Amino acid sequence: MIAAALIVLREVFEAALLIGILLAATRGVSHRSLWVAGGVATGLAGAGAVALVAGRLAAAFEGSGQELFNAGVLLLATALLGWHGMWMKRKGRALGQQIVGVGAQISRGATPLSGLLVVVALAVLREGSELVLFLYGIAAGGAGREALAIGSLVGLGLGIGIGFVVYRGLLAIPQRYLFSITGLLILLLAAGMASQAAGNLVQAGWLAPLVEPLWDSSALLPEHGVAGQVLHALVGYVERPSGMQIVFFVVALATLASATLLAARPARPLLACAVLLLAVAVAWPGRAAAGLVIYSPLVTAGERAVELRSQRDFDGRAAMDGAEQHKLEFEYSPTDWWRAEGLTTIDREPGGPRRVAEYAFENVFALAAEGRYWADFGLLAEYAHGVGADGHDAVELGLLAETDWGPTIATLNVTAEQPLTGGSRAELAYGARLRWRGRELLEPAIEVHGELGAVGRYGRLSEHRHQAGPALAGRWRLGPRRAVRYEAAWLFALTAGSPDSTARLQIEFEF
Amino acid sequence: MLRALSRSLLLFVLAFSAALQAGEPEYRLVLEAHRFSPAELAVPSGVRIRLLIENKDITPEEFESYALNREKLVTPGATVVVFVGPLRPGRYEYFGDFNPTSARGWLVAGP
Repeated sequence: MIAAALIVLREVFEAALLIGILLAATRGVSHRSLWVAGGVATGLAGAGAVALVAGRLAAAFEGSGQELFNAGVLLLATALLGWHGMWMKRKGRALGQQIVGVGAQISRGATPLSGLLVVVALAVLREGSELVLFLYGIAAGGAGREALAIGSLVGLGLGIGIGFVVYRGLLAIPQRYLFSITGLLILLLAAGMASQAAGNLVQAGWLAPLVEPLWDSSALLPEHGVAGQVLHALVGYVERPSGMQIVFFVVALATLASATLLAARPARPLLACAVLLLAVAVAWPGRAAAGLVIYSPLVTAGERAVELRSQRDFDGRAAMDGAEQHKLEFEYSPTDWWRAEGLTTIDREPGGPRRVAEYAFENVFALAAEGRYWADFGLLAEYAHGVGADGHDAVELGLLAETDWGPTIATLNVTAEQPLTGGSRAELAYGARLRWRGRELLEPAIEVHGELGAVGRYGRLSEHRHQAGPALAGRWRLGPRRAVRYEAAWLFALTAGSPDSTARLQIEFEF
Repeated sequence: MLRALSRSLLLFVLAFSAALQAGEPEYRLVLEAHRFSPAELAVPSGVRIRLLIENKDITPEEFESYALNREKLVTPGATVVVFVGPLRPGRYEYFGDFNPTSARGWLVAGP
């Protein structure tokens, strides 16, 4: 009976903790309990449905369907919690100052509340489906059924009780600090979920564990202990995590933290944060051919586009002639500070066939409102999944800056790409461009692109690829939101290690 | 907004879709009457293995191991796959989360 109570308590506790924190975080928002209750109800219905098809789900994707489903649920919850955290940061200030009377106003921005419903539903769904199966097991088990059923009820009651205590405990915190604390808790919950998602993908064999385990803290803080379980629910603590879990945790925490801070006040500390991230990426021990591209840190909310970026090398030496890279992308900017892109890279080594080399998820975060400082700054964050026997997963981080002097627009990118497998080091690269405003359809520019070598093994300048040359860029408006953009450049070698010349063409259709 | 988020996430998840790998050595655990057999399963260290877990009971079970950092539901009659390792030599305890008193065993990674 006690065993059953503990099992049920553990499953209920995770969802109850999340709901307690979310309820405290949305204090003063009208109708929030209705949305949360809707989330619980949706989640329970979903949990039942998932439990019903659990067998089929598990058999999908060569026996890894359950992990992929869990990872999907967890990543979606991470994104929604991050979004919610940002929203609360923005509105929390107003709430903290004048708690009375604001509620009605807040509830009009209904998106975060539907987000709240979905987050709660996802949490209940994930924990609940396990619970439903456990209870089904009891019902089907025969002997000792009653004791187990009572135990389960006790566990359920305790779990809900703990969630309530967490909620009341948080409300006891002075109003001034409440939203900072719940904001921090939500950030940790979100990062913990990202880490659990990584755990599922590793278990499914879809992600490399990197190092497994990265550490073993079972003697210090056993996962099955009370403190271990609380930390597991809060930050996804496991006593023997894989390296990939920690990468996901850190990347999610850093991304969501900077995004949350940004939502409150676009400011310079963020730039410091970005530099720090870049430093972390660079310090990591870890090759991939980065494409020649120059990103602008400016983001336009609501912009959608499909884009093709292509390049081809020309050289008298057969070993360097005919290398190609094509990136097909879909991009969308949900806000004026975030552009997300999904892309596929097709490449060709000199003399080799064309093949799909990687899939990547790329993000550009504008670090301050456009025109706020002497230059606009952005952060590039990409995760690339390498395909094939020699493919490596890699994380790329970059700093983007752009400023203008009269008709001249200067753009600079500095990036670090860290392969996550294969054990090679981070590679540094840069790209810079001067463009002159003229007719929108046809603007001249000059570009320079290059590699700085691997961190700690910079090598000789002559071995690196450094290229520069003229470019044309332009935009052709087709309608209120539709336009075709292009960039074309012809780059010449500056060093012996570079191909004699490279053609670069980028075409983008905005819609 | 939600649509955009879920779309981005879908792309992110799809990015992994070509990563399915095969070729790891397979090992099998059978769950019957809430007990794992064999209770001690010898596996190689230093390589990633596919651990198959078959549930012959009429009730669901959750294969769980803190030592291996793994957790997976096994519905009645089903066989699931869990990727494990590469492990260092040693003993790794696992248990059935729904019947932790009877369903217990060890993976023993040889040198």
